[in-house]
Amino acid sequence: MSDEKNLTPEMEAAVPAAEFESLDDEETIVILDDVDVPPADLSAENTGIGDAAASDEEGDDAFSAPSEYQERERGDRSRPGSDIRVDDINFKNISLLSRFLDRRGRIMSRRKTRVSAKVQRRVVREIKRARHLALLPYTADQTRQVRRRR
Amino acid sequence: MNGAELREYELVFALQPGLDESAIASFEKRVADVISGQGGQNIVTEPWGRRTLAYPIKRYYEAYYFLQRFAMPPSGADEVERTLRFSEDVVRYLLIRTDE
Repeated sequence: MSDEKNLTPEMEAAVPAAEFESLDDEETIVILDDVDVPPADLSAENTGIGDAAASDEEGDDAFSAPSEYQERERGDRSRPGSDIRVDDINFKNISLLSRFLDRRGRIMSRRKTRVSAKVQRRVVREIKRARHLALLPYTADQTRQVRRRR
Repeated sequence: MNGAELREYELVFALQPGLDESAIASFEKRVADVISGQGGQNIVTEPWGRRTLAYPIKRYYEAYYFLQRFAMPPSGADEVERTLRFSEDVVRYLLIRTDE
C-alpha cells in the first residue's frame, strides 16, 4: 500500500496501453464488461472489489478530483492484491481469492492484477484448489445454477 | 511411529448432504483412524459444517466440509487417499502438504 503513490504515474501510462493492446483479440468484450458493471455484481457475489467502482472517467483531464481520490480509485481498480500477504494466500481464503476472479469467474491476468509473479502463481494455484473443492466456481454460470435451486 | 520422517498435511473433504449426524461422525472417525493407523499424529479436526457448493456436484448443492491437519510419514498418504476415493459419500477431497 505504501508504494502506491510512487506507482501512480507509471500506472497512468500503463492502463491505457493495456486496454489498447487488447483491442485486437477477443478480450475486448471482457474489458468493456469490467468497466461497465464490476462493482455491483462482484460485491454481491463475494467480498469483491467493492470500491473498484467509478473510475470510468479516466483520462478525463478537464475534471480533476482531489488527488487522494484519484489515487485510491486507480490503485484499487488495477491492483486487487495490493495489500496482500503471501502467507494469506491459500485455498481456504475464499474472500481473498475471489478478488482475483472477474465477473465470469475467470482468473484475472497478471496484466490486470498487477501483482508480482510470485504472488500470481500462488493465487492461481490456490484458486484451482478451491475450485476443485467447490469453494469457488469454475464459471460464474455455475454459481447461478446453485442459487436458482435454493 | 516407525521413526520415518513426518510431514505436515492438510486434508479437506466434503461429504454428501444426505447423511445423518451419526454417519458423518463415524466417517470422520474412520478417516482419523486411517491417519493414525498410518502413523499420523496431532490430528486436529476443524468442521466447517454444511456449506453451499459453488457448483452442483452429482446433483448435490450442499456438502459437509471437514478440515484435518496432521503429521504423518509420507508412506501413509496413499492409504488415506484411497479411503477417501473409494467412499461414495465423499464428494470431493484434497490432501496437500503444508510444510513446503
